Amino acid sequence: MSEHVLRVTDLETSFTRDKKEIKILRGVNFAIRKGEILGLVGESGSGKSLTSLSIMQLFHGTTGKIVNGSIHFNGEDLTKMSESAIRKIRGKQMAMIFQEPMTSLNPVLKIGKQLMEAIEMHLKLPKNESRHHAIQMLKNVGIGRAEEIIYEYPHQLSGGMRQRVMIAMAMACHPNLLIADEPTTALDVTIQAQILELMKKLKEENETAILLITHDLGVVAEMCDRVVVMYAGQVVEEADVFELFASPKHPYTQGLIASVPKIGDNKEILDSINGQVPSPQNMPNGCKFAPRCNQAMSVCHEESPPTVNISTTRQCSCWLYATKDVKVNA
Amino acid sequence: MTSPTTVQNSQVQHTQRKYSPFKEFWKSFKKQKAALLASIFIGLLIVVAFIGPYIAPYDPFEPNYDALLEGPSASHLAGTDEYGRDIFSRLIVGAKISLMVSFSAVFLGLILGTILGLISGYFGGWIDKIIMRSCDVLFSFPDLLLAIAIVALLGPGINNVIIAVMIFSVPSFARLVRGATLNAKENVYVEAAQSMGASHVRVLWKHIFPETMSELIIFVTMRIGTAILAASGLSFLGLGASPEMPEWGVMLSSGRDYLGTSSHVVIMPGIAIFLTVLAFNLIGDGLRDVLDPKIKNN
Repeated sequence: MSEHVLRVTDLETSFTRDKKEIKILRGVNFAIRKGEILGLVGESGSGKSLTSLSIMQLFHGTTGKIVNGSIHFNGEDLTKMSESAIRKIRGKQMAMIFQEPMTSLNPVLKIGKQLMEAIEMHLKLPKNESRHHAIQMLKNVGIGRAEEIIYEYPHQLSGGMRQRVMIAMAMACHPNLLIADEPTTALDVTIQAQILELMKKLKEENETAILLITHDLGVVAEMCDRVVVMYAGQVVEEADVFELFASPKHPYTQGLIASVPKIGDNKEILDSINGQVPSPQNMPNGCKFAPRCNQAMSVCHEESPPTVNISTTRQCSCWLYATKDVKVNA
Repeated sequence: MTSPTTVQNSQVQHTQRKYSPFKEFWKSFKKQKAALLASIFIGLLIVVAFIGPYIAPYDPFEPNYDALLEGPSASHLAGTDEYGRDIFSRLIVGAKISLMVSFSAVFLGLILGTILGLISGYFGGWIDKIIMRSCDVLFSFPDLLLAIAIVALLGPGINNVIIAVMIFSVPSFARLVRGATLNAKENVYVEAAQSMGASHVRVLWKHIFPETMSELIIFVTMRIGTAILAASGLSFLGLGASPEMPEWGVMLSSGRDYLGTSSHVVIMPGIAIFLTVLAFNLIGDGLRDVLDPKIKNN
């Protein structure tokens, strides 16, 4: 247990609208080991980003609130910590990269200033040293002319460069955990590969655990050690990355993998999963995926499926495996 | 012939040229002729306000019973008032009072209003409701009436005029800044700063407040004009500066009995107030054209 950097247990997060509580995350469970890359995949609206915001406890300006469960980070429960204690962890031990590098840097502050903000705040270095550290960080993320870049404004940099700056910022205090919320979605493919390569490199150097949120299964296959599949605010399947792609267990995972277009297939109509993620106010009874599932049985519509341990590294929440002999492994 | 390397070097140098927001601002601001002229006028007025007592041709308080209510002439550029005091000298010395009152009132209103607006917009919820509803209450009174009521409560005097003008400036500032804050806090970089462990104060000061600046600068210049009018109005009503002070509103007020016979006694301070307020508004308009991104690209 202690080797886990982050352990999320039964996490439930809800928003309040018109005095009604709407639960978005309904019992999320997963854990990340030191130096591991965990992929968090699922459609839009499945609660991936909210999971990351819950871990960071960044609900500011919204009615979002963790109502149940625990988030153990380095052995401490974040849900029981005060705002100021969490602030000391944010940026130092746990940092985040956002989807949009174009907007995640403040346009009116110079790159160096933004980078040094975090360094001065957490490492308490004097100004020259923190500038030196900032330049070093920029060099680490492959920015050659780091000495000049720190005096430039974000609009003078390309998207890929900005994402590098964001990564440098996030890695500045050598965090134990890096949450990357679709870090390459807004970038073009060649830059995407560079950024992913860079994250991998930094992970290996610093033994940082990475929670990689994405809906790009190609990125998952490339990067991740293990994968957690989320649907409608719950984890439906957790597996080693090779196992997952070789034999997806949950019908939702199977659907996701089948939806990836393959080069050379020449299909007129691409495969997809029918329907949409149900809205949180209007969740179906039983398994939340049942209305869209092509293997749904009558029990699926009545009762939520249990989480079945298929092997030591694999879990799946589906009635298909609850009744069968779960020892059989594909 | 230029070798490929030198071409590359010059390109690199070109992209490295220092970007200066002020230079860019100045480039477009100097195209606004009216605003430019107005800024020169205000600049001169500020200089005059500082050195006024030293350059005034006559003592602004010294009566001269040989020259009562004289019209403008070479010796008295703006004529003399009912005590024979030189109006031009009084206007010059009075510039200091008018500018001081309006600047300090607007500045205090700006600080208080900005803080309230930032808090209101950033934290939302019940704090927002309390601040905004209080502003609505203040908004429901006409500006000058509110100022009169405040001065009536506190007693007449320049300092109380400053307080009164400040109080009716606060809600406008608060509302403006709140709007800009609501916009600014949606930016991903605000969330990014929070995710790096920045405190609320830091986020507000470093990431949200700068976003409200361009709107604030415009509004401040506009507001100074209004403040001068309000302060003069209060003095005119006898609620501001004491009657012997060379305050423009006071001069207007004491001269109004002679409007029929020697109109210059009223016209001269009137022109001073008019030009100053106009100049501030012109600057405000010019700044808006330059700084407001919605107008900028047209």
